[in-house]
Amino acid sequence: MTSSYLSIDISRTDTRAWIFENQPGSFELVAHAVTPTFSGLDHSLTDVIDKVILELEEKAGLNLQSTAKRFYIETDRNIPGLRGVGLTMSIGKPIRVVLVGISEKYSLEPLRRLVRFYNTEIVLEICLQNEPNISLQLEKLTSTAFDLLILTGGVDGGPEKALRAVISNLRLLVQLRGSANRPQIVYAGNQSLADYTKMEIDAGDDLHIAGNIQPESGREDLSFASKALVKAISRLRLKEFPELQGLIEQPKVNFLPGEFARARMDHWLEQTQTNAKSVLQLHLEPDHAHAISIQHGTRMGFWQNNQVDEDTISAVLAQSDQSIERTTAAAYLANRELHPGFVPVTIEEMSLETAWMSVRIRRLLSEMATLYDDFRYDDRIGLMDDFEPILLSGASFERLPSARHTFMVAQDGILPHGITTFVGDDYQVITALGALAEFDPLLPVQIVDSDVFSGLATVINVDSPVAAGQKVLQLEVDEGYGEAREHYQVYQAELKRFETVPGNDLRAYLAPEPESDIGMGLRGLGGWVNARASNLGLVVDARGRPCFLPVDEKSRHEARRDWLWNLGA
Amino acid sequence: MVKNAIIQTDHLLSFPVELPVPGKVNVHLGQLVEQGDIIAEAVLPAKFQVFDVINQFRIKESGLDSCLKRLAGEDVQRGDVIAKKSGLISRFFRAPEDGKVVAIRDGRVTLAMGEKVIQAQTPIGGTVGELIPGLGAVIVVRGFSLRGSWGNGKTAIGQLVMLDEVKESDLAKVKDAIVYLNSVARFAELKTLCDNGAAGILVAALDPASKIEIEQLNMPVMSLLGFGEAALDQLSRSAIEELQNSQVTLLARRADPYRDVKPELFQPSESVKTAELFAEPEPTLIGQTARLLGQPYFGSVGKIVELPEKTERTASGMKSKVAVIKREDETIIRVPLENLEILTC
Repeated sequence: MTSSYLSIDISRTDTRAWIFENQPGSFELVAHAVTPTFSGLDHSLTDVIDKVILELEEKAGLNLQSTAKRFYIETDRNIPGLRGVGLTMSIGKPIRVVLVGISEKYSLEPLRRLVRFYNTEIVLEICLQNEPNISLQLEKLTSTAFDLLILTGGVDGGPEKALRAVISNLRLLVQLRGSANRPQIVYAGNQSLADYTKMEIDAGDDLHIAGNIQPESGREDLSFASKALVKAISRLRLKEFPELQGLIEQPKVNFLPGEFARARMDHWLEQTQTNAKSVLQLHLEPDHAHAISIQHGTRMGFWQNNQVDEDTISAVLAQSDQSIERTTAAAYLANRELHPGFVPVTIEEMSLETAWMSVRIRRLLSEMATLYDDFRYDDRIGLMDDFEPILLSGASFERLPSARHTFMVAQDGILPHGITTFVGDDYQVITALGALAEFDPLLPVQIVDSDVFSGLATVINVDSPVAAGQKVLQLEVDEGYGEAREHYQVYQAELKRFETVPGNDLRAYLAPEPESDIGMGLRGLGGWVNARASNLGLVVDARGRPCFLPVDEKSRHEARRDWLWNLGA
Repeated sequence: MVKNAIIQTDHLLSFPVELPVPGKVNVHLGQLVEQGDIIAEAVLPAKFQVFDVINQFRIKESGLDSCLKRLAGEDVQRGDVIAKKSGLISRFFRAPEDGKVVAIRDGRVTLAMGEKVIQAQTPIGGTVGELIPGLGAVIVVRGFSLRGSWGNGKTAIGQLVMLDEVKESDLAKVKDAIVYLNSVARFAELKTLCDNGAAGILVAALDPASKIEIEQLNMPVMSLLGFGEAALDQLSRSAIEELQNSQVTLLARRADPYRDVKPELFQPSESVKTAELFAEPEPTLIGQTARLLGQPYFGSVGKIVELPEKTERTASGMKSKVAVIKREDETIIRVPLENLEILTC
């Protein structure tokens, strides 16, 4: 019997659905459908889901939903049906969060890392060491509009007094708000107070007791609060979109924030890596950007809603490859926020669009670096650690016209270190896989192995202190056609591409100059690199960190255009 | 791309009126409300005082009950004794203001004092179409609507006055009026109008450099086209002219492009149109007048004459479904569907 799994993801722009089937022993992506989430008329989310499922049913030739809008869930192994449904979403207003902790360093800083992974806005922070006045704490809590409160502090078995006082205040707050308007409360502090918190606050399903994110001095583990936080967020989203209640109440439906599902897949990718490198994923949507980095099993992530300020306009102009007036750029970016579906038509608009995307990535990674000491990134010199693969997903990447545009946007934004591979999620399937992983762990493994992601390029990033025009690297390229090998030289400030042929990997011996670092561990150290066949093949980025750019504006634009054209296809 | 048209003579406006913090909703479904009516109200204590009886009086937990003179839920007057430690030198905790004992937990007494009232008033009259539990209601009303592109989140009501530019001689007539400024408005001009008592401002387009300052202006501002150099089309201008000197509501709410929520210039009408039994079929786009986004045609209008089935590649390399547009100067251009706004139904 074949087993089928359905996954649905709702983003602000599109709602997507995928159907996977276990056909003779291995899972396959059978069909994929997309429909705009809000068409402008008064459709509810359930209408949109129905529409995308209908389209999927037509494509896959399957019946997935009854007329009563119930999924055909497999109840008997002999009767075909869905074994699981994943429902993920990344829409909704930013969740207004209050953070309460005992100390800045050990409570509030970890809490910021925890909540900024999701679409949240921190509206109030209370540090109990700095604000011991319980009356003032209560006044602040009652006069602030918020949806979610997270309380942490103290190691397990540690002092309780300050936390007990806050918990009493929360009890009062919950009573004042009434059951219909209770905020979600997550307790992730000293576990000696967990039962007390539950009894004292008495907020039913709106209270979520998590493990202590700081169980002992100097040890931080945000994953202890993940489950409780996801539950709290899901409840808030259901409050915001009550029409989804009927869907998620059905059996075998797994409802998750999209970013959580993606991180689950990134975790798995990192675990299965043999190169000891970290995994980075960038997800760009017209209204927000999201980054996930998995380093040594630790998840780091950051959600950033788009915002245009004067610095952004300057950065976009500096990144653009066309001569554009500041007012034109400012107007484009301001109007772009009002019309997220806008299609850049002119060369200037396209230049602003791609520059804006690169700037968004830089801002995203910079903010993430300020939040996590272990994520080392500087917007001028780029990533300082090795990441492979770097996954690119989201509607903003999807609509770019060519692989070279996608590559340049990502490369200029990320400025990776050493040797890495860019991978595109053309079907935006990673979220779907993350949501279905707990039904059958084999499903994501086999789907990823089936080359569902598209290889964009293998990149060798050369870091050298020499002047522009000086040699930084020699390559001996084996294109797989017998003994013949081509020799190439790469000079500082160059971007060079070596095409790959489908089905034929490219092998290259890298011989860096003594002062060049290509990520092999030491300056001057080289070796063989295998580049799998991909859209762009092997790219050597020797443009420097920061990139060597002429001072003159016209020449600078020319250099940027040349780099793009060097990528060909 | 089926979005509401920019100019609609019989538009059903849905306007949510909400409290920032939960409170009590004062209206019921179907209720008729007037502009300024209070839709919801939150009464919060103005301040709290938490008194730690055990620690302040230095007593044992077992002695707490004998110290407490008031119970949770009791109203108290200023000076009332809430807790007292008897002895050679007695110690008191008195209510600093009129209020209520809201909690006694773990040896701590919490007093709530004073009242802080937060109200959500409707900027527009209409019918309560939906209740938002604990927060407010959605007011629905039919009328004429001219949708804009950008608003700074504020609302006002007043008589519509049209100005081509801000001149000293015109400033007397802007007081309490909704002023339409037919130009690319800069912050200085808007500030002048604000200082002279204008109730709200409607502009053809805004200078992008002024965006942040205008957002903070304490007066509603709505831009019809958005930001940058552009001239308003004749159809929109004629619609504004018809409203001149009459009472209008400027709902300069923030746009949510994903839900097709836009700021609006609105005038309620007496229309008593009832809901159709069956939804009207979506009108075909061919023949409709559309306004164009993006350079070099930003703000100009044309008629949709053809909708090719196939996706086309634009000069930038981006692929999109397009509409063939016949512009006012008879030129024919191909524009991505996403770069169009339907002007009238």
